Amino acid sequence: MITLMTLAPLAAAILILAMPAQRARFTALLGALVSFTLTSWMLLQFDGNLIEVKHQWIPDLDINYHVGLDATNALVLFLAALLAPIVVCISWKHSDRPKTYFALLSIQFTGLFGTFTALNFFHWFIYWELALVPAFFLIKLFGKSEDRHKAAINFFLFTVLGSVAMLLGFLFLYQNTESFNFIELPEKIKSVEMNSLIFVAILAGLWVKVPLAPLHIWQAPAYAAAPTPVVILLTGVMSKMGVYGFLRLIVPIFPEQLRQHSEMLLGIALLTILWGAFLALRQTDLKKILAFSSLNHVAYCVLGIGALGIAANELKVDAHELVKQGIILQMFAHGLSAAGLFYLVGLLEQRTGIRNRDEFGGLCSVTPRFAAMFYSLTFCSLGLPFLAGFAAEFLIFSGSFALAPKMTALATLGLLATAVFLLTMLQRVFTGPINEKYQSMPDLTRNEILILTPIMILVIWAGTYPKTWLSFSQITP
Amino acid sequence: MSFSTLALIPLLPLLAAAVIPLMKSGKQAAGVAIGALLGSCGIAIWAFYKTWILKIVFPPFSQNWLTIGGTEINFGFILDPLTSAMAAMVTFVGSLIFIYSAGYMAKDKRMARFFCYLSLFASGMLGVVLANSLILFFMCWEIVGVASYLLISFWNHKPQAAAAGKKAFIVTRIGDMGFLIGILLVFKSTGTLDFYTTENNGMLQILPIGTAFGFKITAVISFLLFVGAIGKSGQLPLHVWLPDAMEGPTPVSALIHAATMVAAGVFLVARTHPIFQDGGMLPLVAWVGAITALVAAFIALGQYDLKRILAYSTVSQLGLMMVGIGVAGVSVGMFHLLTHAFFKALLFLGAGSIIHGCHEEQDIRKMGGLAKPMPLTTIAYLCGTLALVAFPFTSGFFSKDEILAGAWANNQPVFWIAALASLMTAVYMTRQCMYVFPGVHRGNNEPHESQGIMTIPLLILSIFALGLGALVRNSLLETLPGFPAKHETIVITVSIAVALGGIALGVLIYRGRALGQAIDPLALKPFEQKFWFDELYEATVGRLWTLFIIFSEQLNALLVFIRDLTVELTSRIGTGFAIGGDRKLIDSLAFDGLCNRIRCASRSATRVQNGFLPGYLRLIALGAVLLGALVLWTS
Amino acid sequence: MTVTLHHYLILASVLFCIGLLGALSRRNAIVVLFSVEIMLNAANLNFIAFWRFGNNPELLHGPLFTLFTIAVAAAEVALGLALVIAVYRHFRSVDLESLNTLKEE
Repeated sequence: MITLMTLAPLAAAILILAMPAQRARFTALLGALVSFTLTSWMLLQFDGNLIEVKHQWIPDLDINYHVGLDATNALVLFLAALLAPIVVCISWKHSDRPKTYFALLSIQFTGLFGTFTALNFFHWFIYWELALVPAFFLIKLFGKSEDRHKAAINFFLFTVLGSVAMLLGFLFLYQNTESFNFIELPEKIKSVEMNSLIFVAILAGLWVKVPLAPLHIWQAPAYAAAPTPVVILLTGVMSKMGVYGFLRLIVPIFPEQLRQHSEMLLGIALLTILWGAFLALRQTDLKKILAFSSLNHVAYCVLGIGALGIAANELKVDAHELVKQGIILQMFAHGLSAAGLFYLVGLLEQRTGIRNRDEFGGLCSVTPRFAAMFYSLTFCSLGLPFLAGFAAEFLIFSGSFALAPKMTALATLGLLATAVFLLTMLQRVFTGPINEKYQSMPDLTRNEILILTPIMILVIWAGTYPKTWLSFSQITP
Repeated sequence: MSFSTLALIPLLPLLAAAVIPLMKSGKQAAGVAIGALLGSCGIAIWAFYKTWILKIVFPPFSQNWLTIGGTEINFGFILDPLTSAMAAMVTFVGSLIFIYSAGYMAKDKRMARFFCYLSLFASGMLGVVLANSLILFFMCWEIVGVASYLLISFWNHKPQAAAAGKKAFIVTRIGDMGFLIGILLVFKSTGTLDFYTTENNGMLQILPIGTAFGFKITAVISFLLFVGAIGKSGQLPLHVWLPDAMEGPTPVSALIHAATMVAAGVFLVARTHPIFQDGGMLPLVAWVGAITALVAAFIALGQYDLKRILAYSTVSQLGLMMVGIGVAGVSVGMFHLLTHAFFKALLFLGAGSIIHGCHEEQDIRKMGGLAKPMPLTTIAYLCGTLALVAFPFTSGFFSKDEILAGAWANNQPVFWIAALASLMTAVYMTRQCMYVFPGVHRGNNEPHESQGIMTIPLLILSIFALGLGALVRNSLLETLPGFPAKHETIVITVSIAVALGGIALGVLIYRGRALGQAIDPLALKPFEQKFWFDELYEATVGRLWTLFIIFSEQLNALLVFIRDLTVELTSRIGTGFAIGGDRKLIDSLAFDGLCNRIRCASRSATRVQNGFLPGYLRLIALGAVLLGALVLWTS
Repeated sequence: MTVTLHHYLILASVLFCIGLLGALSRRNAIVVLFSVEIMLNAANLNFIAFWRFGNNPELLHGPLFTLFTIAVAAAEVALGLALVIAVYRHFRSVDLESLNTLKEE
C-alpha cells in the first residue's frame, strides 16, 4: 500500500511521457489523487503503531526495501499527499511544455512521498535526492523571473552540498553500526563509540534543507523565482523534509549529541526566527516576504528540536511530548497556510503581473473574497488562536519554555515581528485608496475557491480541534 | 445552568458571525447579529440572576481540548459572580450598541461585514469573560484583538484607519507577548491552565511556588500577565494605540474601546487576582494605574477631537480601575469597570450621535450650540458626563469613591494622584461640554437630531449611568472578593470637591470665551502633543527596530557576499588548477613539452637533408673516411 | 721489378681517389655515375689482388665477389641511367646542384 502510494505519481510520470501532451495534466492529477486516496485510507486505519513493509534487497549490506507509517510521519505524509493534487490543480492551465512540466511534478511527488515513508537509509537517500532534482529543473525551466537560473543553481548547490555531507555521515555511521535501518539504529548506536563529526555531517544536510541561518540564503531567491505550484511544494513540503529529518534521524539516533549541542541548536533557531522576521520586514516582493516568513515559521520547529535535547527533570508538564507534537502540528499548519498564501500571491501576480507590495492598495474593496481568504491565512500565519498556527506554536512554546525558558521567551519576539510584517503587507496591499490600475481586477473564481476550500477547512479544523490531527502523531494506548 | 447553556453565550454571536457572510442585505445581517446577542443577553442575565440573586455556586466546567502525553490542556467555562456580572454587562451594553449601530451604519454599503466583525468581537469578548482556562482566555483575548483590528480599520480606504488598526494590533501584541510568556510560566510551574477545578488543583487554587529568573514565581507571572493587561487596557506606556483607534466607526469605539475590550485587561487582573496578591504586584498595578490616569487626563485637556478626548478619558478611567484593584481588590475595580462601561458607552454613543448630526465633524472647535437642535442627545450626553466626573450620587461617584477610599487607606500618594486625575477629569469634560453644547453653532452644516434607533439606546444607557451605582453598590461589594476601606470624611470631601470644583473651574475658564478662534488656556503644548509619546517611541523603539532590520539585512547581504566570494574563489581555484596544473604542468611541460622538443630536434636534424646532392655525397665520403679511420684506430 | 700486392693496392687507391674526386666534385649526374663505377672497380681490383696474393688462392672468394659486384654494378648503372634520364625529362637538366627537391620542407 505504501509502495503503491509512493510510486503512483512516478508511474504517472512515465505515462505522461508516453502520452500526448493534452492528457498530461489528467494523468498527473490521477497519480496524485491515487496517492492521496491511499494515504487517507491508511490514516483512517492508523492507530499510531508502526505499519511497515519490508523486502530484502541486499541483505549483506543491510540494504532493504523498508517503508512504514508511524506517528512521526503520518501527518506530514498526509500533508504532502494533500498538497500534491492541489498543486496539480493549481497548474491546470499550464501550457508551456506540459509533458515535461507534469512529469517533473509527478516525479517530485514520488520523491517527497518516498522520503517521508522510507525507513532504510539507502532508498531514503535516493528519494531525498529525487525530490531535489525535479525542483531544480522546474525552477530553471519554468521560473518566471530573470534570475531563475542563478536561483536554481544556488538552490541545487546548497542542497547537494548538504546532502553530500549527510551521505558521508551515514556511511561513517554504517561503518560503526552496520545498519541502515532507521528503526533499529537507535538501539544499535547505544553500543558503539560515536564520532561527533557524524552528527555534524548529518546535521549539515538537514540544516540546509530546513533551512537555518546562515545557510538560508538560497531560499528567498529560489522561492521568488520558482513558479507558484513549485513554491508551494518547496515551502509546504520540502522545508518539512528537513524538520522531518530532525525528528526521524537526529532525535532518536543521536540523543547524546543532541543533548550536547542543544544550546547551539536553540541559538541557531532563535537567530533564524528573528533574522527571518526582520528580513521580511524590509522586503517589498510579496513572495520574498512569504519566503522569509517561512524561514521564521519553520525555525520554530527547530527551536523545539533544540529543546528536545534538554532533559526534562521534575517538570509538571510532559515537555518533550508537547514539543514533539507541536513540531508535527506546526509542520502541518505551516504547510497549509504557506501553501495557501503562496497560491494567493501567485494569483495576484497572474492577474496583475506584479508582486510588489507597495504597488497595490485598496484591494479589500475590489476583491472582497480574495481579501477574506488572504486575511484568514495571514492570521493563521501570525498565530491567531482557533487557526492551526496558534495551536502548533503554543504547543512548541509550552514545551520548549519548560525546557529552555530564556530562549523561548526571546523567540516570542519573532511572533511580534511576524505580526508587524504580515500586517504591513495586508495594509499595503488591501487597504488605503484603491489603485486605479487594478480597479477591475477579478475576484476569486469558483474553481479557485474550490482549491482553497480544503486548505481553509483544515486550517480551522486543526486550530479549533487539533485533537483529530494529533491522534495521528500520538500512539494511542 | 449546564455547560452547554453557558457555552451558548459566546457561541450565539459566533454563529451569527459565521452566518452573516452568506447574507446580502445589511438589514438582515443586523437583525441576525442583534438577535443572537439578545439571546446571549437573555442567558447572561439569567445566569446573573442565579449567581447574584439566588447566590447559587456553580462548579467550574472543564472540557479536555488536548492531551499530550501526560499533560492535559483544557477549555472550560466558569460561572461565578465576577463572570456573570461581566457577561451581563457585555451582552447588555453590547445589545444596545448593536441596535444603535443598525442606525448608525445604515447607509454603509458594507454593513453586513460590520455586523459580522461585531458579532465575532462579541463572541470573543464573552469567551474571555467566561473562560475558565488561561489558554481559552488568551485565545479569545486574541480573537478580540483581531476583531478590534478589523473594526478599527473598517473604513480601510482611509490610510489613517488602516494604520491605526495595525498600530492597535501591534502595540497590544507587545503586551500579549508578555501575557503569553506568563501563560507558559504558569503552565510550566503548575502543569495546568485551568483557573479553578472541582478537584481544587486549578492554577488559582494551587498557586505556583518557587522562583523563576531569580524572582518569586508568582511575582514574575503576575508581572507578565500585567504586561498583557497594560497592552489591552491602554495603560502607560502602551496606551498609544487607544486614541488612534478612534479612527474606527463610533459604535466600535463605544463597544470595544470604551466599554468592553479595553476593560479586558482590568478583568484579567481581577480574574487572576490571587496570583497578583501572592506575588505582591498589586502596588505596581496601583501605581501604573494612577500615573496613567493622571497623564491621560492631562492629555485629554489638550485635545480638540471629540472622540480623542473621550479616548484619553477612557485611558484615564482604566487607570483608575487598576488603582481600584491595586488598592482595594477585585470588587472595587470591577465596580468602576461596570459603571464606567455604561457611562462611557453612553458618552461614545452620544458622541457618535453628535458627529452624525454634525455631518461627520469631529473637531469640537467647529461645534457649539448643539443643545437646541439635538435635545435628546444633549441630555444623554450630560448624564454621561455627570457620571464620568463623579457628580454626587451618579454611578461614577459611588465607584470612584470606593477607589479613593481604598487608596487613602493603603497608598496615600496614589490617592492624591487619583484625586488630581479626577479633578482634571471634571475640568476636561466641562471644557468639552462648553465647547459642544452652549452658544452658537460654528460649523458649516446645520446639525440635526439622530433617528430613534440611535437615541433610544442613549436614553436607556443614561438611566443606568445615573442609577446603576447606587443600585448595585452594596451587593457588589459584598459578593465580589475585595477589601473596601472605610470612608473617611476627607475622602468624601475630596471626592465631592474635585468633582464640583472641576466643573466650576471649567465653567469659569470657558464661559464667555470666543471658543474655536481664541487660544485655549488649558490646551498647553505638551497636552496637545500628548507628551510626545509617539515621537518618543518613534525615536527610540522605532529607531532600534529599524536598526535591527538594517542590521539583519546587512548581515544577509554579507552572507550573500560570502557565498559569492566562495563561489568566486572556488572558480578561481578551479581555473588555477585548470591553467596551472592541467595546461601548464601537464600539457605544456610534460607531454606537449616533450613532443615539442622532439619536433625541434628533428627539425634541426632535417636541416642536413637539404636536397643538395653533392653535399650528400660528400657526407657519405666523410662517413667512409671516418669509418676507415675508426677501423684503423681500433685494429 | 716484380709486381707486388702493394702496387695493386696503390693502383686501386688511386682509382678510388679519382672516382671519389669525380663523384664529389662533378655536377653532371652521368659523370658522377661513372665516377661511382670507377670506385667500384677500384674495390674489385682490391678483391682480385687480395685473392691473388692471399693464402688460399684455390678458394674462389675474390672472383666471386667481383663477379657479383660487376653484375650489381651493371644493374645499378642501368637503373641509374634510367633515373638520370627520367630526371632529365622532368627537370631538363642533369645538374646535381640544381636538383634539390629531395630536401625536407
